[in-house]
Amino acid sequence: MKTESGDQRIARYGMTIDVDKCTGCGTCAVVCHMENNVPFTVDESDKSRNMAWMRIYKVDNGLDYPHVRVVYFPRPCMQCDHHTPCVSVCPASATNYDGLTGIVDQINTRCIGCRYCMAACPYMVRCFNWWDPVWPKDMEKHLNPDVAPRMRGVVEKCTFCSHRYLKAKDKAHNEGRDYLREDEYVPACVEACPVGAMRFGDLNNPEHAVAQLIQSPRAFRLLENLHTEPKVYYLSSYEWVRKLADNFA
Amino acid sequence: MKMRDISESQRQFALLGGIFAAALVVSLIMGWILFPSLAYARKAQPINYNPPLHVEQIGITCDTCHFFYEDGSWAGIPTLETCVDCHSDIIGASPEEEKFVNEYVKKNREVKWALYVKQPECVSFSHSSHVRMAKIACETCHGPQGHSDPKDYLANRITNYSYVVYDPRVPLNAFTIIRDKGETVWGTMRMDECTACHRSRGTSTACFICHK
Repeated sequence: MKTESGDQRIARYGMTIDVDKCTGCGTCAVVCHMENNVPFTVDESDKSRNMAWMRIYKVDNGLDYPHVRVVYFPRPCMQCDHHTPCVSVCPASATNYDGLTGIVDQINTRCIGCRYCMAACPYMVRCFNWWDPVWPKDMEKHLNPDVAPRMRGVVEKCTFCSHRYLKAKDKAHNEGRDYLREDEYVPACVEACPVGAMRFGDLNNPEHAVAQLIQSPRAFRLLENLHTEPKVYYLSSYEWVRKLADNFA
Repeated sequence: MKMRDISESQRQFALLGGIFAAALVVSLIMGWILFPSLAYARKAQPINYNPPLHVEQIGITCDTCHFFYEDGSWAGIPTLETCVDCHSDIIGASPEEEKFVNEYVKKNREVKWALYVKQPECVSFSHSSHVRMAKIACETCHGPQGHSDPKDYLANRITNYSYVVYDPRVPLNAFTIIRDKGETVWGTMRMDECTACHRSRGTSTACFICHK
């Protein structure tokens, strides 16, 4: 896609999540389930088998009352820029890094279910379909037609709602535009966040809010020591939170 | 004249050779004629819709019925509502028109039109990107639909991919589908056809651009 000024520029879509604002309400996880037709199992308490593209981790500073502090880390796919562990190990080219948008996609029909990517991903982002998805009869009417349901035996993961990117592009093309405005392509989780803790945009475009936010001293990423260069940035004013995000120990 | 002596082993060899040749002929007939014709089912549209009448004689364009919504999504096959704009009563004397109005319009039933180009559910295709942005003509992918009158079409029994010819001189069978796809036979676009065009135009070939 081109930018508003018309020059062909490579986009790097990224996200910022302000963990100081996040209340851990779980709206992002719920809308993600609905938006992407993520199946659920009878026993959702079995966390080794259940599926979620967006998981929320609760972390505290380890102190006793009254000094205990809690933060929540909503964790979508980190969309790693460098090495992209899942892409480099996939034997079937079922997951790819798109150089024009920076999106790491997942082609479910091509996945052979070896789960090598799940072992490679340092963020535990990927889920495996142990069973064919089953929805209650009435719920099938609520499935999103823009996202194909997966079958048993394939791996799935957050795609930054790439179908929303295509929809935004459709609208822009229909209007004769070859660029997207900042608010046109936004993943479901970012749109739904009730406290506005999540922002989304092109990290390469200095006019986008996320490009400015990641320059802030509050910005950090998960496991930065691995140099996978995630495009999901977290923001926090607290030193202990920033330290927790990386394995300094 | 003395007959040539044929030993027992030679006779056996000739017999086995004969069986092999016969089996080969049977296999070739099955592989080249029987199976390809079994793989495709010949089907017909529920109403013998007449595109040349609409396009050439009345002069309406493709996007009159196959229009774009404001959000860039495409209307696809028109619903009964679009047809009824003109066909609330019987126009002309065609028996198909009479059947359409009596069986569908008056009973308010949607026609289950067959699609020649239906993609599997893991594929997303944007008409606005191709028609509005890349300025590709409808005929490039759909062939001269609107200028000819296909009577029937073939659908693959396994994949449900379907094919149609618009030239009455071209036979529609498994061989023309394999050989003449995109020239005289039109139908469901294959992935290699999509990627070839994307590559030659320098557009993105990222998986998620077409796969959902």
